[in-house]
Amino acid sequence: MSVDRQIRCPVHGFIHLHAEHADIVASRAFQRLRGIRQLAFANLVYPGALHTRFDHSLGVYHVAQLLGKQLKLSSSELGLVQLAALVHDLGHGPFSHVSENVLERYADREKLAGRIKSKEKIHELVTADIVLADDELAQCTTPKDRERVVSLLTAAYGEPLLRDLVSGPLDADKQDYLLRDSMFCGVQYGVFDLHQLHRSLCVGEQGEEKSLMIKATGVHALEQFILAKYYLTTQVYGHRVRLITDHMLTRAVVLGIEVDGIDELRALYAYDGEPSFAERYAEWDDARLLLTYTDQKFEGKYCHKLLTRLVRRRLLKQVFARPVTKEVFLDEHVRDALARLTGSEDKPDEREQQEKLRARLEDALAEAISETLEAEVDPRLVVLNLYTVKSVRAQSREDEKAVLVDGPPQPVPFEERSTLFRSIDQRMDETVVEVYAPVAYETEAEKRTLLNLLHDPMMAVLQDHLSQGGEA
Amino acid sequence: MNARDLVLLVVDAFGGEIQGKTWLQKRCYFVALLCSWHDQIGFEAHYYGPYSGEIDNAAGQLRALGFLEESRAAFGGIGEGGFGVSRYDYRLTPDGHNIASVRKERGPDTWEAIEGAVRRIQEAGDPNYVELSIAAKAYYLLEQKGGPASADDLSQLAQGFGWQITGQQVERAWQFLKQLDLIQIIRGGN
Repeated sequence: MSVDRQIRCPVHGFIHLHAEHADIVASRAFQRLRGIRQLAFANLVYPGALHTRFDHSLGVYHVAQLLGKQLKLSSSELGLVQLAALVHDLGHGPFSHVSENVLERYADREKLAGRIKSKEKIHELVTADIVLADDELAQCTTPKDRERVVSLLTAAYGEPLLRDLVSGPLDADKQDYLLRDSMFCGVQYGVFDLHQLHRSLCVGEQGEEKSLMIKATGVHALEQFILAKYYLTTQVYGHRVRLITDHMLTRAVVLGIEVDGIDELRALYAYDGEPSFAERYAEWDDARLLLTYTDQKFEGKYCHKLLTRLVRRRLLKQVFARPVTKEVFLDEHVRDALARLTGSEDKPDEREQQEKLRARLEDALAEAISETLEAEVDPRLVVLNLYTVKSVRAQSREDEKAVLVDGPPQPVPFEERSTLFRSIDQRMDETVVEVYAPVAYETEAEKRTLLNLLHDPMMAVLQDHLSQGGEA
Repeated sequence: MNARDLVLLVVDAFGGEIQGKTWLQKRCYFVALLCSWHDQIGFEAHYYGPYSGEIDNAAGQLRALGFLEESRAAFGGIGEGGFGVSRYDYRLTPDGHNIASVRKERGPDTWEAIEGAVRRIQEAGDPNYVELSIAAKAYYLLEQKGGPASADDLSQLAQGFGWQITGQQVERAWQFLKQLDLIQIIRGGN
């Protein structure tokens, strides 16, 4: 029989782990999270960023406990929210979000037809499989609780308040990772006043529904939280070198599957909903993936090459970066085609078309780099990356909904109540196109020279290939 | 269907201009609903009715790309009906019109579906943003409830959300849903 425990946490102090949850923490599925770093290879930029999904999951559990007490949840509601907080990341594969991208790419959608609800992510299905089927979890939780937690995590559970605490704009997950990632990266960007934010929260009633809202007096606490998220996103999550490491990892796995033909890797990521998938998946963490594919027996394979470059910090370099605006790309068809490459296509055939276009562009970009630098550049190691930076106002709401400030006379969206956010121009959304390539430079002056040299050839490739909207 | 194309083509189908963020959201909601795309666009329950962050983000991205112009008319505060009275107006730029033409040419079926949905909305009275919001919220809640409701029920529902809505507005929203056959769809179990 387990007993209550106090776990020391560098972010929150002591975390009180209830006896009923201690067996979950002791389970193999949860302990695996010790081997999955929260921010993948961010430690190549921020050496302290070695924290894991294990630490984070305990932190989310603690924040959920604080939130539950602040909002006076019943003990059964609190238990459910804490359980969901504890297990929410069990489906993370090696190197966290990098695995999410690869899972999306190789999921067997034909086999999963009818199971994937709109907008549901594959890693969420993997989490659900683990929560529902893991033997050890089954011994320390009831089937009903596991079902309810899965519903809550996949946003299907009917109680909006509990869902807000687990997966909403102010959820426990964000509250922990902003503070934790800031601390381990050694930055102050994501710091906010957790306790003041909690004091500012309240339960608002909309008709018969209850949901998480902010008190009118808590607008400034929320402003600080949103700015923390904005700064951490732009300065840490969107850090140029960190993005390159993520792309190198993804490319290592994709080339390992598609060019090197490593069946074991395909089996790891080709989710099909079968129980054997989750069993296999649960055997892998960061270290196993790295050690396996940097082994000598894979020498000569792309997977080996890219992972070895990561281990030795011989990273691809950014050779081109421009915003996708009218000032830079006058031709609207080029801007449109670039925006479509950000990955917003939902239909599988459209996604496939975009992937082909991307591959054609990367080939042409590699050729242009080779010609300009008079050195051979492998097109498979050239990465075209497109991403959109949301405005700070857009950051104040998640994709799902806006935060509401409680009335009277009635709740209003936070953006309308905050003087600071009301005054920020929404038109700051920006799509950026970047190219990474296996080139070398040592000094800032060398980098500038190289970027200047490659600017016009890169622009020419994009304009030539995309002026007809990217049609072959 | 992705949100960016939906916003682009819905604004185009309504004459290249939509006044107000709420109107943009609700018009996109009803077009998506009539074309059975609403699940793909991620509409979620929201205080002012179904809302999609993807629509908001798509509008932001279209602006950044130079395809959509946004102008803000700030009136300040909250109106009597409980709706924000500062307004963002959206208008397609010439580049936006060109890209919309490309989309129509390459996806004639999609465009036909959008045009058809817009025609049905217009034939059903083309409600203003307040009435469209009430209709959207009412439909959303009725769909969740899965049962029939009267105009009085809708009026009470609106009051429960703090909206001061007239019986005439509720009646108009009710008629609108009926004309779009959406209420029939609910009764049919969809």
